[in-house]
Amino acid sequence: MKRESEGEKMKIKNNFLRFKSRVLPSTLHALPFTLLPLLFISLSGCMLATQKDMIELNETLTKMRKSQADLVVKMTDLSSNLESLNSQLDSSQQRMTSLSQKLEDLQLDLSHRMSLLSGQVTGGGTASSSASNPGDIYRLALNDYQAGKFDLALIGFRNFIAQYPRTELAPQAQYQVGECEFARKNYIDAAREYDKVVSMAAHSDIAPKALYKKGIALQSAGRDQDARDTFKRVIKEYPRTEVAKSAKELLDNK
Amino acid sequence: MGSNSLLLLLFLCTASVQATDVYLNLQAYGGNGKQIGVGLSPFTTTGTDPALASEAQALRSVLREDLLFARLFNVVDGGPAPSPKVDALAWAGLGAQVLVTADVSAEGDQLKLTGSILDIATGKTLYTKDVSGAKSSARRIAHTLANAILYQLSGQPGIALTRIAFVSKKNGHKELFVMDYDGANVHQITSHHSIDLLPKWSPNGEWIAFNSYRSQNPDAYLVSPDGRLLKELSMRQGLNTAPNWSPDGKSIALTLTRQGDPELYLLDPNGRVIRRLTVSQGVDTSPTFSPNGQQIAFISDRSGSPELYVMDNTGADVKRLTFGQWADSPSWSPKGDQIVYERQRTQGRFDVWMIDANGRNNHQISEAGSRNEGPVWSPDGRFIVFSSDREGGKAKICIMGADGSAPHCITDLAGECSSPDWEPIK
Repeated sequence: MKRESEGEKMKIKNNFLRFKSRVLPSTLHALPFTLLPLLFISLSGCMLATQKDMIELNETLTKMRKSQADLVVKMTDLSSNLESLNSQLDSSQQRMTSLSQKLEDLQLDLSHRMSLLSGQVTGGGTASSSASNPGDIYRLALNDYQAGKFDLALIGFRNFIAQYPRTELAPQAQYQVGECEFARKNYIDAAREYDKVVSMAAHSDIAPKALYKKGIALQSAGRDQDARDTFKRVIKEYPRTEVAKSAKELLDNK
Repeated sequence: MGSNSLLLLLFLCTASVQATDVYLNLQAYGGNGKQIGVGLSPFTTTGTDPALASEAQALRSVLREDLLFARLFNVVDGGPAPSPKVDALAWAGLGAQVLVTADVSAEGDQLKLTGSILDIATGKTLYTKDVSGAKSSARRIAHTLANAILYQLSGQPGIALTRIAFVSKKNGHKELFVMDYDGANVHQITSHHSIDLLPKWSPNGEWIAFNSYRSQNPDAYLVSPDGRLLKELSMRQGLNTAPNWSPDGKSIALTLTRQGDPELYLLDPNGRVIRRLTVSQGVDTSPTFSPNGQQIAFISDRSGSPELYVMDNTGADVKRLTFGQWADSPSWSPKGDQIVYERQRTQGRFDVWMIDANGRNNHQISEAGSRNEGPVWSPDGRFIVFSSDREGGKAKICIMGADGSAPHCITDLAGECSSPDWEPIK
């Protein structure tokens, strides 16, 4: 058993030696010639790959930049769209206001006619005053304002507010009272009149404008700190309005 | 100097004759909206100089054009000249209720025109006025008398002495020009060999604000109406466009791109910023003040297309007036109730439209079929001056009634004319 195993060992040794003398030398000799080009190819392949990667990376970067620019453009587009939508909303609101004014005129006209009719039916006295509709009275005052007759316009708007304090046009008329005083350069009076608009209808469209104009009036009167406080109020209370932007602009530029 | 003394004379004469009396007396003739018949007698001359007779004829034709232009009366021609008595019967037969007579005399290079208004029915002289000046300013003498007669007969201030500034490419480049309101006396007032645009008279008539690219940037300048003085108004980087005056002449609204977006600003006449007016995204431009100075109409494309807006002179209370109009070039009426503007009908075709200042009653006033642009009110609020190619060929400066009636062109220059602006009554 032992001999056998020794013979086995010898065999293995011989085989190994045969392998060592025949195969290894040739392989070892061949190694430099086969490996070097391989190495070269694989190395240069590596370099080529890095370059390619770089180019690809660059391309990706350019693409990303482009898409970022596209995004910026889209964002600008979107925000301008938003702005135009906002302005469309504004004008719709404007139209709504004028429509509701017309409706109010019609309603008042109707009730006026009804009372006339009922007067006639019951045989009561003739019609009361020949009061035309509130829209007309407002427009007359506005015409005076537009013609630069601020004193007359002031009386007109004050009368309107006294006669129709609960109509939708009343805060607008109050704003116009402020405008008349502003135009007459009575800035402190103007500020007080604008303030009344805000207390009359704090949630109306005209309120932020009135508050902003109060700031301008105070500024024109030389009361800069009060003006600044008012502009801050505009930004705080009506942050999403056009006049808030104007107020910010005025505060930043001081 | 000469014009000043003439104006002083005009003032003294009108003050002494009590204009309203004559005007009120004549109301009797003009009742029921019928125009009174104003006879215009041939002008007589003092002296026998034959040159003076032709001078008199020229003066009469200028005066006649002024009276016709005003469209306030039925101007009657063809009656006999006074010799020396007026043939009232002949003139009455022609339909005249009053008669305008005038006598022309000369002394050296000075002309004197003595005009009178006679009541045909009573034969009484209602009004007399002397106007004199150099022979070279004969048209001005006639215009001065026309203004006085118009005021006496209608109670309205005449516009016969006003001028119109405009842009013309007569000499190849867009330069500023000034002419009389009837198209006479065309003067070139800038020669920048660049692009001069959008002239706007100051309320006192002493300056014309305009845009020029003479320094390779759209800058705003002021020029005197004789072209002698030029002042820089705003030379900021970017746009300094469409300057327009407030009625008190103390501020000028214009478009600047100080923070990228074209916004409206208020400047003083020395170019310092008083305040920024608009804060919206998009272009805001073409400002025009209301006659009370409290509001500004302007064009903005904040909604996506250029539309007409109104705000107050602090930038608050913005209201949109037009919807889907492609509006531009608004001009607020001297009476304050209307705004005239141009509207693009199709690519490059424009019409003149009128809208109430409250946004109602929007309607077209120019006839379709031609390019009608840049409408501006006359200072008396009765006419619109605009540019139009209605006569074919190059655009001319034209005038029509504020209702669009009787359009006629008053320039006949070699180049395109555009962007007129009417001088205020001083």
